[in-house]
Amino acid sequence: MVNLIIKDILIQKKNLLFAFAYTIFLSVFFSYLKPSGIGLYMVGPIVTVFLLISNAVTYDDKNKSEIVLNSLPLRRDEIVISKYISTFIFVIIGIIYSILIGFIEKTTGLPLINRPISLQDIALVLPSVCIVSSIFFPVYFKFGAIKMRVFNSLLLVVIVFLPPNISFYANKDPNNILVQKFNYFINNTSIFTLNSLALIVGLIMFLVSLMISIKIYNNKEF
Amino acid sequence: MDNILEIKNIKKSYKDFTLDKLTFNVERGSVMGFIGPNGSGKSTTIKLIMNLIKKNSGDINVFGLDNVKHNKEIKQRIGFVYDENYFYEELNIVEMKNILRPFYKSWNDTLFEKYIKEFELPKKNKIKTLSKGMKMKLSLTFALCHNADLIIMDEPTSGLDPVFRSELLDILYNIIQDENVSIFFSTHITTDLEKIADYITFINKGKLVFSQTKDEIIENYGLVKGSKELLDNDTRRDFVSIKETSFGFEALTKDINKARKIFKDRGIIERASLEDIMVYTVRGNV
Repeated sequence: MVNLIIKDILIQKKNLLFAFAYTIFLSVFFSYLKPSGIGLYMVGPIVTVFLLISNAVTYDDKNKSEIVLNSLPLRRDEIVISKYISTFIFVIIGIIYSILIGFIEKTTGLPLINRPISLQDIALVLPSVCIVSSIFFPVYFKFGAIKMRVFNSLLLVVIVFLPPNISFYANKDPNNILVQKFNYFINNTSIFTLNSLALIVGLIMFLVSLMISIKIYNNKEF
Repeated sequence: MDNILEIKNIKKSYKDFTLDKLTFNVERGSVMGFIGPNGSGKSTTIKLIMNLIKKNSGDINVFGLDNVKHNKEIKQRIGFVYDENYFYEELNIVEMKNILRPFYKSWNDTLFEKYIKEFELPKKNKIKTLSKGMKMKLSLTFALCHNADLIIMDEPTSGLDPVFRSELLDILYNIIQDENVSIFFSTHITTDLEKIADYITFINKGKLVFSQTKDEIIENYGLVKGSKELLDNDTRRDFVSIKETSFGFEALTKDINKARKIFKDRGIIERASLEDIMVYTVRGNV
């Protein structure tokens, strides 16, 4: 399975650069958002994961290379599991990117981001990428990369604009009942519990999604 | 003799096509040509052997092992060549090799270098820049580098020019000098097989027509040509199919010796090529 993950990196070396550039762009684009750094430290890594998982499967699909993968000495569930594991490899890459960019912006004196990455950022990124992967992969394994293009674009829009907009509207309209209830819940629960809860929900979705994908892939015909 | 591949009563149904109770074997060390017109089920059979699609019923044993249960073990020992390039086109040859190598326990880089040199493949070129023939040679190289006991090829010669095809056949001819390697080779270009195949399996519309040694086929099938007066209900029954024109008839028989007795001195009797056999069998009477 390690070989498959290495494969997913080797086939998209260019995209690694592209994701880096995209993270810079996001850090600038969302620099107005409060709390500061949400674009760079949260949206950045999530988008990096999304770009890398979606490009990897596009390459697999493009020349029907899945026929090659399934002709190699590999079990089908190994192919699926390694795709899910790659999420975590890509999130590490994404976090390293945002740390690097944060550092560069600080040393060059750009006033966009004025804080380094925090554990809280990572605690939000991890459940988020779990959720992104758990939505993305079953759809891919069922329909393939070409058919899911429209779905992909929608998913990317949601990933990029949903978290900033939620925080934006929550700040704008603090008297909304939902916002109030949410704030009440947040204020009366410890950060640790909240983070753990988010991570547990993310991981449960991830595992359920993994099982669904294995089932889909085992029945797939090439 | 032991069988390296056993296909028993396999069935696979699609909406508009059914592969029906197909049975045949491939002996160790032999070359099996797998022929049939387009759409006869050759690729479906190969996909079933490679476990790319699921059969409705029947058994497939490779190296004596069930091909689904022992998928991984079996594929360590299978080399595959498909009719198109399914490798990552954006990569160059060496990069692609580096991706494939770790999956095989007995990958041999010396062999890889040898074939790359022999086939004059440009190692640093992206796969998408290679010609169709070169892509085929590359597939073959990948198939030959992990000491496979069985090489499965789906239409490797389709779309290649005659020069390239004959070159490819020479390469295969050299490979089969190794008595342990078996080749299962589908094609609709039957002349490919006349040189290298030991056995021929012929399917049409998802059904087996025959699976025999090439020599038996060539010795027993025959073409009879003559004037129409020679045709009566009895003689007609002996033919696989008959082509009638205003001048006379041409017909295919499964028993050339019997035909020689019946039509002695009255018609022309010659050996049938694999192509004749395929065309007459598929077409039926006209």
